[in-house]
Order: sequence, then C-alpha cells, then structure tokens
Amino acid sequence: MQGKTYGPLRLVLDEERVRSFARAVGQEGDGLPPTMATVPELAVGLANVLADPELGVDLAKVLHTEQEYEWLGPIDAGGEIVASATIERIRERGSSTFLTLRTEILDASGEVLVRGRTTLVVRGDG
Amino acid sequence: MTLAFEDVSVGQEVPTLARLVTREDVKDYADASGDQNPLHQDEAVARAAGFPGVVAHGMYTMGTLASAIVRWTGDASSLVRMRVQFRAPVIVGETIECGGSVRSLDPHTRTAVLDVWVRVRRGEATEWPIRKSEAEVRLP
Repeated sequence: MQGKTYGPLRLVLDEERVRSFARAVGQEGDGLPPTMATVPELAVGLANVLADPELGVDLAKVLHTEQEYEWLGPIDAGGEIVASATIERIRERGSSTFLTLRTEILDASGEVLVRGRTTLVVRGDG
Repeated sequence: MTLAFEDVSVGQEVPTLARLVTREDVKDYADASGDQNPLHQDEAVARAAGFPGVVAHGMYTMGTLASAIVRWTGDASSLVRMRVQFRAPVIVGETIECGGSVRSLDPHTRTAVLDVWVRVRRGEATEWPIRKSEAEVRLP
C-alpha cells in the first residue's frame, strides 16, 4: 500500500466557502486562510483512504496526530486547483496503525502551491 | 498593519488569540472544510468514543492557531510552513488560547521560525492540544 496514489482531483474553492472557513477559524483581513489547503487534502486523501477496500479503515478509530504544510504559492478563491495524495508510510505499532499521507496541491498550470503531510493513527481493538 | 522583518526579534511573542470554541463555529468548520466526522457534531458519538463532549476538529484548532499568526503578521500569505502535533482533544464549550514566540530569524530569507502552541485550562490544570510545534513566516 505504500506509494499508492489517489487523484488527481480538480476543484474550486468559491468565495462564499472561503468566507465561511475564514469566519470559522477567526481569520481577519483578506486572503485565503492558509489551512484551507485542508479542503482539497481531505477530499483527495482521507476521503479516498476511508473508501479504499484495500485499507479497510474505520473513521470512528481514526485520530489525527500530526499535520504539516508548506505553502509555496497562493491558492486563489474561484481558481481551479488540482490535488493528489500518496500514501508515504504505513507502520504498525502494537494494535495501532500509523498512516502518513502526502498531498500536493497544484494550480491549473501545474505549479505546486501547497505540500501537505498528514499523520493519522488508526486505533486497534487491543 | 503588516509586520516587517525589522520589527521582529528572537523571543518576541505572538499576541495570544483566545477563542471560545462554539458548536456553531465547529459546525461551520465541518461544512467549509468537508470534514463531516460525527465526532465533531454529535454528542452521543463523541461520548461513545470516550470524550466528555463534542470534539473540535484538530484542523479547526490548527486553523485558529494559523489565524493568530496571520493576525500578528497582518498578511495571510506570510505563512510559509507549519508543522503541528495534536496532543490533546479540544471540547466544544472550552476556550482555546493560541500563541507562540520567535525562536530564530534568518535575515537572508527574511523569515522567522516560531514555536507555536494551543493551550486550554481545565480546572487548575493547563493542557496543550498543540505543543512542540513550529511555524515559519516570511516578512517584508
């Protein structure tokens, strides 16, 4: 499963959604909230992991333990972005599984705007 | 007001942003982010999972921390990197405090590396939903 990729997924963050996200996280002033990169990241990453029968991950057992972003260029509200995700690492520790996903978000011309890395723990029954 | 690189020194603190975590904000966050995990909306699901109430998304908390940093720099595009560890849950109804301090400066790239955190007071105790985490900002 390591190295498995999901996407590419094309999506647009419209201005109303940007305003709503900014209000929810308490951002003041202009500009897309930096962590709104979560929207494409979730849509192409965790959503596909949960739907992947090869992984069989139960959402009720998932904990988000680490998150990293590197912002290289601005995401524009209303502009098309393209996201893809790769399973970087799967590691068992005791009854738990640690899963690291890498995400890249590009603009329509293929320039990288954001790199993300998410680490999830899927708690075991033990 | 946009913060300039010359305005910043090592040890300087990011003004602490305190926010009450409301059910409405967490619901709005779920809708805007697309994370509809019932743990973040349904009290019964959260209690069944062993939490005392509805749990805010880790990314809601990280997003609020990012807002504290961006309020300080005055520019949403100043943030170039952020890495956080989620170490404790945040429960709806609690007040989170988001802050940080400048660890190092690089005049060549005009960037500052910050130690950043989110804390919450529970009775006499202070817990740290985000700690041992860092952010980097580039300033004009």
